[in-house]
Amino acid sequence: MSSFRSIMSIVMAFVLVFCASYFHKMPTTSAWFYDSGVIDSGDSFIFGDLSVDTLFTSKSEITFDGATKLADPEEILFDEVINVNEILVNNSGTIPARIYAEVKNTGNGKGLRWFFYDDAMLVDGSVKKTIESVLPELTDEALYEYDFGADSNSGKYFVINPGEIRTLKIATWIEYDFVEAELKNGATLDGYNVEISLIATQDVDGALER
Amino acid sequence: MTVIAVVFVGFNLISGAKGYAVSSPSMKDTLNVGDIVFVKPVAFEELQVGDVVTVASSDGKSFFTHRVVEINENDRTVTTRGDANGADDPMPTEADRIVGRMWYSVPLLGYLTMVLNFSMSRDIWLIVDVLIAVVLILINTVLPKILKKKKRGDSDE
Repeated sequence: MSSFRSIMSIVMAFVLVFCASYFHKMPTTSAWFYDSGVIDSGDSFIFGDLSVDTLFTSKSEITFDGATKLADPEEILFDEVINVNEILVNNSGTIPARIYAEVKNTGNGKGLRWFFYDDAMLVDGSVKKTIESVLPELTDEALYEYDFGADSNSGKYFVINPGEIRTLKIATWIEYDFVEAELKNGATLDGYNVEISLIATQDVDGALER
Repeated sequence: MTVIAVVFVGFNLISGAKGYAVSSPSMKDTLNVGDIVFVKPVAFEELQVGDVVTVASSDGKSFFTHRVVEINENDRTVTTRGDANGADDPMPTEADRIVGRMWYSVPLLGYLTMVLNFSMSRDIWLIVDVLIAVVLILINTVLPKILKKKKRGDSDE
């Protein structure tokens, strides 16, 4: 009887956990969207009225002049060694859209970091000072939260109004601490394979005034 | 609790229904935030105006659930609209994006999904799953033995 109870306890424990997993893996259903596939048009992201979940991707190989340290306030060459990608975003439709960004490191290079901004945000023309002004602290965690959001699903975005054309920028750099050993062995910071994505989504759920 | 959970999950798995936690109010009154809507696959020909359907994005990662307000059989699309929205959704939905038609919904249960998804990633949840199972097993098997042993020791004294 005792062994039967033990076996049942084990089985029931796993069954209960399985049921919890069922709810955890359940997707959410949310705001309206429509996606019409991938648009890769060089350095311009032009989306129409209704492509509110449209993806722009751009793949490139970046060579960095040097590594840097975001957290180091004495690092005055930060702006000199970062790489900046500019993407012209054009909302040719009649619905305001949010533009999110994501940068993927598709190669083996270590320490790649990124920051999504536009010129209107710049403080004294410096990306480093701009980052200092928007992050509560200069840590990887704070940068991650800025890029992806606290729940990894609502990072920094820009609202592009109908008919608006704006240049959005993505700064990328290499954190020195992650490549220190390689650099001391004579390695260079070239051949970073980077995939930049912008996604346009509807700014509000439904209730569109036409 | 385990029995209820098993019956509920088993019922939906066997019936082929897929559940989605409602996280926006565009279908307010029919589907409120925190509900779970269960949908079953439906052929395009069987769809009717007034049906509530769940639609997937091309990568299958995003979903919305709105009501069908118009069916265009020629280009096999439907026009959808959230009950609480002031206008139709701006673009017709192609038939192959429709995951299914609403079967039934359960109020509030979706909060469980939203809390679980918000609080931890799926990888961490997997580890927590195993830990919960181990703890439950220990509580149900080892703990009674310890208590029994202790009780026996007390009565010996």
